[in-house]
Amino acid sequence: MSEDTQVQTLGDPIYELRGVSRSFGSGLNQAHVLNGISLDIAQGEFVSIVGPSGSGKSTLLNIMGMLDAPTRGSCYFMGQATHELGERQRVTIHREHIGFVFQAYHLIDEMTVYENLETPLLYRKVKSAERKSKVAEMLDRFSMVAKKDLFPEQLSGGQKQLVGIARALIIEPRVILADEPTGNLHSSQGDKIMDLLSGLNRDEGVTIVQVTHNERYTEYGHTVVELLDGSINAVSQVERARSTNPSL
Amino acid sequence: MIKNYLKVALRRFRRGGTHAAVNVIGLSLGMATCALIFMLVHHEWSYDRFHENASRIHRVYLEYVSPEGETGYQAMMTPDFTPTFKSTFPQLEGATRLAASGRDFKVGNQTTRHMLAEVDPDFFEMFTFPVLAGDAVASITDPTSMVVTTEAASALFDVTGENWSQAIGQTVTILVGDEAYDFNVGAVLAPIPNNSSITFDVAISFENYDNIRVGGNNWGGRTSTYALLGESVDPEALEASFTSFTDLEFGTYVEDMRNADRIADDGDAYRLKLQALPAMHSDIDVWVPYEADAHNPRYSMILAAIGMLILLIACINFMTLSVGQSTIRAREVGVRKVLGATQGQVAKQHWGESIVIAGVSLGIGLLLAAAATPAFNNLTGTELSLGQVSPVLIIVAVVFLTVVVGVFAGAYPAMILSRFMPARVLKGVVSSPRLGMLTRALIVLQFTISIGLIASTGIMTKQLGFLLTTDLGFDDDFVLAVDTRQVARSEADGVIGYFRDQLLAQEDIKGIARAGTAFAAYGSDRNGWADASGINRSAYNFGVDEDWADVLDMEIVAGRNFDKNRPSDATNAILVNEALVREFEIDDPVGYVMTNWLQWVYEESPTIVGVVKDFNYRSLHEEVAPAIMNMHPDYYNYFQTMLVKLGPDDVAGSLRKIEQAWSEVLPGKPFAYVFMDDAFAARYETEQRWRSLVTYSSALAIIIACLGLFALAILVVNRRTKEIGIRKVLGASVAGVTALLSREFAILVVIGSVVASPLAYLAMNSWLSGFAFTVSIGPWVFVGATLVTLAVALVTVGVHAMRAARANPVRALRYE
Repeated sequence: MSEDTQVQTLGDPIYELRGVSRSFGSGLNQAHVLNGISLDIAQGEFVSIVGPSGSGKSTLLNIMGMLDAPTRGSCYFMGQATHELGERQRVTIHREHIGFVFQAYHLIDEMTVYENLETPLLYRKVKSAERKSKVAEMLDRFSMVAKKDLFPEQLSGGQKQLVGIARALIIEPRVILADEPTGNLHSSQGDKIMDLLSGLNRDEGVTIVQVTHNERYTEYGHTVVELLDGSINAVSQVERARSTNPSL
Repeated sequence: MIKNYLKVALRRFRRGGTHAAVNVIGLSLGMATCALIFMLVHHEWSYDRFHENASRIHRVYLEYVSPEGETGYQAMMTPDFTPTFKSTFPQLEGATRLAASGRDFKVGNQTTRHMLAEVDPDFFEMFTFPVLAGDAVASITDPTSMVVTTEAASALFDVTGENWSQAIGQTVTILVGDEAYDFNVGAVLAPIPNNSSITFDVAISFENYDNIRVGGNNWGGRTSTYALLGESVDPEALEASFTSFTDLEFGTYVEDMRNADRIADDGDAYRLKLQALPAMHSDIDVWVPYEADAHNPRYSMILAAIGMLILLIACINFMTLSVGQSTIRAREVGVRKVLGATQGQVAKQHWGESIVIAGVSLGIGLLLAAAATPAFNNLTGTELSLGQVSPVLIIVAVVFLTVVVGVFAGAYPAMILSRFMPARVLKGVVSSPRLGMLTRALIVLQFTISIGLIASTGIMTKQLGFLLTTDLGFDDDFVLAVDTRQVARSEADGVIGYFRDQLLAQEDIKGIARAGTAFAAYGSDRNGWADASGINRSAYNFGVDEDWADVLDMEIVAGRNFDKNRPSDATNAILVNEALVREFEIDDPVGYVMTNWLQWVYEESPTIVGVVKDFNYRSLHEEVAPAIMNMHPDYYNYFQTMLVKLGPDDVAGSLRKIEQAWSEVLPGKPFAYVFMDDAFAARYETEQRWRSLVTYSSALAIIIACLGLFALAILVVNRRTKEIGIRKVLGASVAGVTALLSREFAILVVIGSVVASPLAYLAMNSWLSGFAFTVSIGPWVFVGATLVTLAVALVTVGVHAMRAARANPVRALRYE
């Protein structure tokens, strides 16, 4: 696949951030975590957000995921200003367009792999038969059929993150927001997860925004946004020097 | 979706271990308590509602206003009243008189005592008392026929089960003094339900009232009156039409009452009223001699409140544990929200979970309640079962309690957790390891309730101990009171003489006295006398003999006792107590001539020959009231009781001797007796029951509260594992760490005590105000209650704190 075709898949901006600031506390204790971030992310892009601890990476991701709101500035998702959305609309976007992947996986401990995958579909009120086939398809695709009745505590870290990604993917989202998806994994497991994410981006056009500490994994994306003290320090395009493994 | 929630809830429950167990045990105990109390409250509420016509049957009573403006009630009518009343008002479908008291029934040679009611033919048409054999209405129409309950039938004829009809046609003799009246059994009734105000073993026609006087006294008969209103009759409109009838019927009575300054002069000061049957049992203002005592609905409310408090403690456990576990739950909430759950869905899920737990606990609670019912009946002196409550009501109550408790207990997780911002909780922002304000406040509330109940238990115990051991002014130890009411007046002197001859020679029989009443046993009597200024005052009458003061070890403080060698003592001498001298304002009592207000047994006014030191013949709820002791042979309570003072060594042997003598002089008559001290203790039965109820309640309260504390301590200690490790590495001792962890809880218990003490003080002061003689409420009972609670709480927390303090710090720190 050539770089040209990739560029062609990049469509209209899915995210437009205009002067987004976020501060916590007030008065003397006020901490400005984000300072006037403006950023466009096109559909089908793979963006890595990097920066030292406390630079505001996760806060930025949370604002994009509508889990947090900017104190100033605006964030547009698919052309809609997120601060104008009611709970109902926000929940609908979570149900239909955004998949989350976390460093700590955040699977529900009391649920089996199968049930964890099923939960987003339950909230989307997908019919039982369709739910079954979608979960089966995911299990098959991630080679986890044999593990479907296991509980999270019976899985390795890499396996848990596979379930986490499968759960994010099952709603066929426009965008996956991944907060240090490899942070708790051994490097071999981490490589596998990153291959998976870039495959999804490349083959299915899913927009991916990841926060990462690991420099090696920034190379999987197209664009690297470097934060420092709440501001964008640099935005760079990744050169496709490294070939990725298309198979899972 | 629900399946998904349920699965998660069940799995969490299974893994939950201590917390789940504490929640379910606590709530089950709370629910069981509520079920038992509900049963009792429902029983009191259900009184008289089983009659099909309950809402149309009304009790008739007179309401009057005293010159001081106080309202009084009189439900006792003359025997002539009811027939006139019924014929005057066509709105009445029926009316019946009711009078009842214990009487002796003889079949063959066997005499047994049963409750005899005299009623009009309408009685069995108005009230719903199912007939098992014969025809009750026809029996009451026939003055020589009687209706018996199964209980009386089995006692009289030895018939049981399917054979009730064998009792029909049998002859029973009712003994009234020297007279005997024969009746044929015409109907057998099912047992009278235990929630019936009207209770009797045998019923006969009211036409027998002149011969067999039940419940009357010397001034004439009195009856209760019940009327059945027509289907569409409005009781208030009917009451309004009573006015001229009331003036006509009660004119003389009201005139007498006005002369005695009992009714105000105002023309509107009295009126005839109707009271629906179901309201009767909770009306404690109207005196009922023939029906079951009314029940103060306040007691039901206090009991219900205690039940609710215990359930509240269990609900608080649920809440504090939810708060304690919120960091764990919060993550799930965050994940669900990120996956597309709305706040409402999360709230519903948590409420669903708590309702399921409440439902499970209620199920277990009902089983516990069923198992505890016999013990509870024993405690409350009732014979109840959940089976007596209608299934519909149980289902309604179960659904109601489950939902209310579920919604209440689950309020915290549902309302607070569901609001958590996923961004924070998913990033692992863990709340402080200390207890939050809400948790502290809830724990303080739990201990306020526990300490309040324990302090109340302490005060009640102290007061009861005082009541039971206080010097009554006479010695009732080993004094047997034998019921001699079935002895005919003409035989009285012979019978007592026989006992004296037979028993006084025995070494273990210390004394025998003839008496009208034995104070606490077998009733009392009073009437009016003029005081020193000629004003009518009432005094209790006691029929006694010359030995009475010795047998009871009474002290004569002035004058002399009755004297066997002065025959005139019987007809014109009396003893009085100090209270009478005081209240009648008699300056020089010995030799003073007392004037009877109404014509009584004395032809001439009797002279006081001696003053007896005050003795408590009623319960210590009341001050000692004026009393007069007489020996007059015409006094109608001449020989109702025989007092026998026994030696302390062989009570059973002495009893056998007395019973032997009894069967010789009174063959076939039932031998019934009580010990006077038991009879006095029985006066405090209500107080003893309350004490037991409050004791068990406070035990339950503290158990449930400490269960919660135990589970919470585990949470808190686990969260502080790292801190404990660091402290130990820095040189803290096991004792130091244990104290550190326990201190936080100890402070909460002490705050609870500070809140509880004034509340318990006020509540107990109000309880004690029902007694004329009380103990003082010192500070020690509150200190004691606090120390007990503190000890239990510290042991609960300390066990776990100590284990944590002893753990190897390296292990604690390794995980961080």
